[in-house]
Amino acid sequence: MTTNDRRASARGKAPRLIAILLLAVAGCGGGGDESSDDPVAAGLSTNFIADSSPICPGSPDTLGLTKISAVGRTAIIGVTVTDCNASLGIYGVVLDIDFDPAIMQCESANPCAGGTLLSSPLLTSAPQCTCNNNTGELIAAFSKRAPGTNDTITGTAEVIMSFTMRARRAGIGRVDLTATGSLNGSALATLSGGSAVAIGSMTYVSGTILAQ
Amino acid sequence: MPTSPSSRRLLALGAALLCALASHPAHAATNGVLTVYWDANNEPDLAGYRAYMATSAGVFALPPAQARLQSVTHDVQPGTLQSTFGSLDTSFTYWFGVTAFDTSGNESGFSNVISATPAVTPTFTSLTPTSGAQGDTGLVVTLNGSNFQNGGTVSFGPGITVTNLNTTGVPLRLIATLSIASLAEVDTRDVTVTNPGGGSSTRINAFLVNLDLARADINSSSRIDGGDLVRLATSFAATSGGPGYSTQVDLNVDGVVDGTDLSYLITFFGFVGPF
Repeated sequence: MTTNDRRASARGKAPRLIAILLLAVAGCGGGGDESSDDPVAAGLSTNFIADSSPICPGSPDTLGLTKISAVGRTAIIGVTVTDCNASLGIYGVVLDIDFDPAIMQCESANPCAGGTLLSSPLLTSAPQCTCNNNTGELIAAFSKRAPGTNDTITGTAEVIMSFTMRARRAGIGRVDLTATGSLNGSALATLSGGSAVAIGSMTYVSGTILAQ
Repeated sequence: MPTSPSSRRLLALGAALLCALASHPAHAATNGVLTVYWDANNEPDLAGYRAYMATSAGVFALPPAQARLQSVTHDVQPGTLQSTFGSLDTSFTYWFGVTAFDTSGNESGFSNVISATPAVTPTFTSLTPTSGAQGDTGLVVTLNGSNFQNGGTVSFGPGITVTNLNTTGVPLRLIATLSIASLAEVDTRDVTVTNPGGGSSTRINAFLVNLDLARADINSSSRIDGGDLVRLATSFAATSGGPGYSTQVDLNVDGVVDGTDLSYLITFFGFVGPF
């Protein structure tokens, strides 16, 4: 083998080594950060479609997910209380939300923001949320605090809080309100006799994220 | 007129001797203090008492006039029933007797004779572990230092009981077994080691009582979540004894439901039990 042959051989091996390194870097992703996104995720367009839309008059008291906005890969989803006769006294919200982690992830560790329904005094300035992008679980809570009273809907529907999701890859994924919360399986609480009491008989509306 | 020795009976040793020490551990060997107490003599011609201190019990077998040559003595007024001896070597045992003398210069025989060792000031330097949690039982904490003595005590403050104190490592080490009450206040604690004679050493904020995680699961749902948050919200700002207050929501048990309790709940928000 001549010197030139050895050089040629060395040049020939280099591209394979680089390819292995690139694969290794790609394999180091996970945990829900952007490194695990589909390579075409940057071009995704996301939308959120609620399963139904309560219409007053006539709709039962409903806690539902609604689209606030959808821009690029990001969708802001509102948690909306529909109370056609403005009869509910609302003190706080306790949410369990399941989502498809293959399609979407929380925008941040605390992807929640307050809505317009709950007025001061609030226990925390913003909703308290924690998100697990591996299992696809978001639990959230937002509450007034003592000394205080219940709030009622202005109009027929009002957003109690919102959360932001980001598409990871193209597809269709569910976003479901579940009744696994610790508030007797309910998501809304009212203040009664100084105690937080679950508001029963609510209708829950979930939805779907489309990323394409 | 000699006074009857029996009328000047010394009090029991444990209650009679109070020991105080200067705070310089380096001089612990010679900074001991002992105070001896006795009962009053009520004879009308009493002129005073003479307290004797010696390093040998045999001194008190001698007549007071001879014993005085081998003792340290303190003469005190009739109304005084105690005397303190200082600058004592803490490694020695000292013997005490008391006589009474009258206005004619007569001195009684000795009272009963007692002995004591001056207190030793411990030097408490560290402990491990430095924290425990509400509800912990059988938590073994090792305290390091010097001059620890058998029969000493260790205090961790309210809500923490020392269920056993192993002194086999004295003078350098004590091993305390703790039981932390489930409602012990979540806070740092001063820890004090006290030797039998009263000498003590305290380390400020040496031990931390942490929150029992299960207490943040206020509604016992096996998850720290919104149900607990709302429950805490309804009692926010409640104070001990007032409406809405409960130790169930006063997570750190400091007597008020406030932002500190909220911060604990938020810190563990989303944690899933069993706790």
